[in-house]
Amino acid sequence: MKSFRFARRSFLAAVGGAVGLRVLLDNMVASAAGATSPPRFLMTHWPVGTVRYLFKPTGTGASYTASKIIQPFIDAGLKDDMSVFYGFTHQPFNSGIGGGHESGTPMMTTGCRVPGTRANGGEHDDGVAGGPSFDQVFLKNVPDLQTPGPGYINAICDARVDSRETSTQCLSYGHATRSIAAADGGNVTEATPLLPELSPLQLYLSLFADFMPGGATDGNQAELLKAVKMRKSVLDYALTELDTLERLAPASEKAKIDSHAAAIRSIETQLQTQIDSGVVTMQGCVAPAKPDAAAVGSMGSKFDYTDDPNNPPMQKASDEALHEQVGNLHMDIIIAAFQCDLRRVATFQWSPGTNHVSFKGQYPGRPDAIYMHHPTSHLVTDGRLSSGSSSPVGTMGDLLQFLGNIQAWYNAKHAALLNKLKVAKDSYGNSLLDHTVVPYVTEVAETTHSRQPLPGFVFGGKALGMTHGSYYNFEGDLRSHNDLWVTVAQAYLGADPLSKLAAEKFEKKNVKPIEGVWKAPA
Amino acid sequence: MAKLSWRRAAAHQMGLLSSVLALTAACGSTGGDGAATPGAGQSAGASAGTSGAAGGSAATGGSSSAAGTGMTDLGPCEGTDVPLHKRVVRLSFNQISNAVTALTDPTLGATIATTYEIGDSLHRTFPPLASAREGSQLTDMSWAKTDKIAADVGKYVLANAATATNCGAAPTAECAKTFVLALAERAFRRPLNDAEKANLGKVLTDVAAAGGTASDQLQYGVYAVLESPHFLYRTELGPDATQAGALTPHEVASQLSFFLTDAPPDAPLLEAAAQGALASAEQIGAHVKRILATPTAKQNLQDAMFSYFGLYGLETVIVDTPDFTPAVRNSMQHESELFLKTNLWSPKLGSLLTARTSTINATLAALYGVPAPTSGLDADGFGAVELPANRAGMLTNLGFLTSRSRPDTPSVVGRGLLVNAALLCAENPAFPEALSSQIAAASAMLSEATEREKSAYRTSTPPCSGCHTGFDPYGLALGNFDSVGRFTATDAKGRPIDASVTLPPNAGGAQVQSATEMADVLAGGGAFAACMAKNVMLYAIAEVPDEGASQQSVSVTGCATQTIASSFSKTGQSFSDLIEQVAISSTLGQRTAGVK
Repeated sequence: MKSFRFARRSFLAAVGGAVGLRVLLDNMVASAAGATSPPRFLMTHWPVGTVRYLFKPTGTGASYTASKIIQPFIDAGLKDDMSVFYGFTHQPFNSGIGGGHESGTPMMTTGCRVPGTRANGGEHDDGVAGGPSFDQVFLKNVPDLQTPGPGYINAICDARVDSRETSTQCLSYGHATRSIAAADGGNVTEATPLLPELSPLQLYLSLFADFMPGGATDGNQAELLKAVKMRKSVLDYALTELDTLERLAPASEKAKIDSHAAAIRSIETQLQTQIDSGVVTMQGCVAPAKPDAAAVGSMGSKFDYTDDPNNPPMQKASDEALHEQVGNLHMDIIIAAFQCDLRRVATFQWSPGTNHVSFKGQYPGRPDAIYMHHPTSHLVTDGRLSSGSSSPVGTMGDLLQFLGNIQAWYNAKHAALLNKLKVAKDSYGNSLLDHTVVPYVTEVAETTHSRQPLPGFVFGGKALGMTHGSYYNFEGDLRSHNDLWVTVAQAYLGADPLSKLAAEKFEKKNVKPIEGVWKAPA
Repeated sequence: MAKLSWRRAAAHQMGLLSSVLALTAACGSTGGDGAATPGAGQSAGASAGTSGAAGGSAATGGSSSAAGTGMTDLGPCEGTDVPLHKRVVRLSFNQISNAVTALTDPTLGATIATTYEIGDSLHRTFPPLASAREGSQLTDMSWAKTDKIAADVGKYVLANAATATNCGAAPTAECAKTFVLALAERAFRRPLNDAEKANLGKVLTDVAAAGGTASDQLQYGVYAVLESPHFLYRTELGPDATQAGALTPHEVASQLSFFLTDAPPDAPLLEAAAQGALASAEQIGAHVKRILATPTAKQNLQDAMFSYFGLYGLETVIVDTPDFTPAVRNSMQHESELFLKTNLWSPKLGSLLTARTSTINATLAALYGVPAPTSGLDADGFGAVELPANRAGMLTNLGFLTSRSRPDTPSVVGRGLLVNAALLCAENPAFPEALSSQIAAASAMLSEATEREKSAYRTSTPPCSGCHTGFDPYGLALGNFDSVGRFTATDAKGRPIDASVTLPPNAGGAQVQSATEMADVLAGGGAFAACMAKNVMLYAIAEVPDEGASQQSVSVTGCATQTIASSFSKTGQSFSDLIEQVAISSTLGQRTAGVK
């Protein structure tokens, strides 16, 4: 895989100088130097699985007919940017520890066994990650996905969980591990959770707070560069003092101090790159609009569950308008971060698997009813209904229609976000979606927490070799959910990604890429 | 009736740290099912390794019995009363913002809190670092926030140099350096050693080398101070980090101040630290008394207890009755805040459970069934009233009951679990998913039964009885209070409600006729005091230990808790006394060396 960054640096060396360097980032000059769009990776997630008879398309392969749930992607013009899958399983790495959503989420993103549950002062089902998540795996193993700085951003649109769980409100886990208190006593070693940002405003500030209004110019580059150097001296100082603390404190404090130091060092590499290149802000990179502080989802513990299938838990007002708005704000920031090449790896989560977001009018025959998603899903008590081939009658059928409608809602909003990614061009003039692989996955197969058969989608990355337009059904011969990740890994690592990821912890037994989804680009 | 949902409706979500106390052996015996099913077997697994009696396993450390009048002897304790090793504890975001205020001014502190969406104290997790969004360690994103705050403080001080420093609007390099070093001493909450001063000095020279002016030196010097780990963490290393023993006086000052006020130590504390006068129980106790008299400390601890009891749940709880209007919701929340404000500072901790007065408005008076208050009303229309004899303290407080209500009906089991966890720090068992179909069948069979009859079934039928005897009685005793806390003598079908119960073993097993009698028994027993001791101690130590042995020590039967409970029982037994006992405890004051 050609390293575009290397091309850029050699061009830089050739040109030399200070302020004039910014021209290299002009499209034409960059292309002339042989540089091309870098790859990106965007992991996305939707909550509470699916309803089999409402999800499954008819037919397979390229000529499938979409279901009601999948249709929003077709309507948005994304058929040729999308591959649909049905029939993954978590069983090969299912330790049986932890809750349905609570362990489903780390299993989904890490492909590792959950070794235990976290003592969080609430329920005992908060599964911890047994290894890093695939966004972090790719970030570590694919140099072209790396940018100076932390290299990733994580966003979530709502963070209401049942009972103080971390697992359901986090997709991303790092390679660093730490020992924490386990829910049932003793300790468990977990991969460190990299919690997503809930507030679009905070996400914006984390990336664009220092941007000059109006973007970078010759005049302010020099000033910016001086500020970078001064900031670096502050961070150097902090590292020195952290080092002192580490020498004094017992070994148990090391993980904590190392995590702090790693955060500083990753920013230092970013600053050093800016100092070396003389360029602080990419020409043409303008910060997106600063989000309103009020545009943010909710967080905290919720426990709104009822018993009577005829009376799902009602809200007084629905969350969907805000939920959609927050999703768009987060995506606008991720897109800007990709365009400005501040980050090439991101995760985007709509909500925890125990989704407390409420929706109006999605329940059949009750246009004014406002019900919460996950609490309502638990009124379906028999998994055979949600994983059956046809609609049950009566209340159960209505509840499942509600769940299918919610999934269709999410897909429609997700399609709109993907279209933003599709029309957005990077500084090389290419569509971001073509250079970004976007898996879209869920943490349970259906509402009663089955680990299979799981649905999944992959969007984008066509310039990286992903080929789309088909529906793949392997529910008769279930495939490890890790097959989805290694399929995607080909876009970054080429054929035989498993050998390049041999040192990573995810379960590899019987794992292989799904045939036909990736083809080496010419 | 009961399926997955009642578990969800239980108290687990509150800002509580349930102890790691093993379940009673009786509760663990769910037959073969529990152990066989992964996930559902968690509670069975936890109890498998323990011996029978409610109250814990064989003592591994010192023995401590709860002496004093009316206290149940809880027997030998687990672990040690020095469970913490040397550590560095990060300041929470709220503490950082309060420190910024203390170092600069309230305007900047407020701006920081708003810009970085640092949540207010009523909504915090208990204790704050236990929240996933705070955490005990900084990672890329949370560090980035502290970094931006530090940078903002630097910018602010420069922009306001004329008032924030004595260097005037255009500082000289020398004045900048003097200011930065003086700021560092205040920010680090202790004097700097020579190396630390030199390291900060180097920042200033590096800034100059990069082309920075004296103004830049001031800005980036201040930025460095707030970026420093010596600001962001408080240490608990003692004078010799390799030797077990006491914290340094300055470390004591920081620990104490952040515990009581969520803010850095004030001048008298720092002065005492400088004099080495923060070592004995008398010395520390005097500062505790002094600080507890301040509104800041009172408000902080009230808010902490508000978050402990999960009363913020009122904001979002759904109760499906038209009587639960937004005005009612807001009134309940305000009443709960005022309840804590009044009763935390009363002569007895037990008042939390027994107080019969409350400060309410006309809206709430209607729900309590009393005349609206007419005199001594505050600006919000709230005034003190005497509640009816069927009310007692937190247990029958409208907000406390309603914050945990299920949308459709109050839950005996839900309330039982709540009392068990919140007031007695007992471990609630996980819902036995393996028994779901049996539970559904029983619910169908009992659909026309009274709550009492349903509970009688649960507490007499194995395997249900194994768990339900441990908490159902608390919920039954509260059976007269509906979803919004109104007293009702009969249920929805007009059948009289009988609230008499035999309390479970962990509350002493007495027979009581009503919620108020139950409140009296709980207030007088040792379990409630031990539970409050445990929680105040956890709040004070901020970062809950993550090692198995240490966790046991800070559980409700652990030696750390029991030692404090025991010494508390010899005081006047107010909440302030409890705070003081925690503050002077060896748990707070001593550290083991830890593994190097």
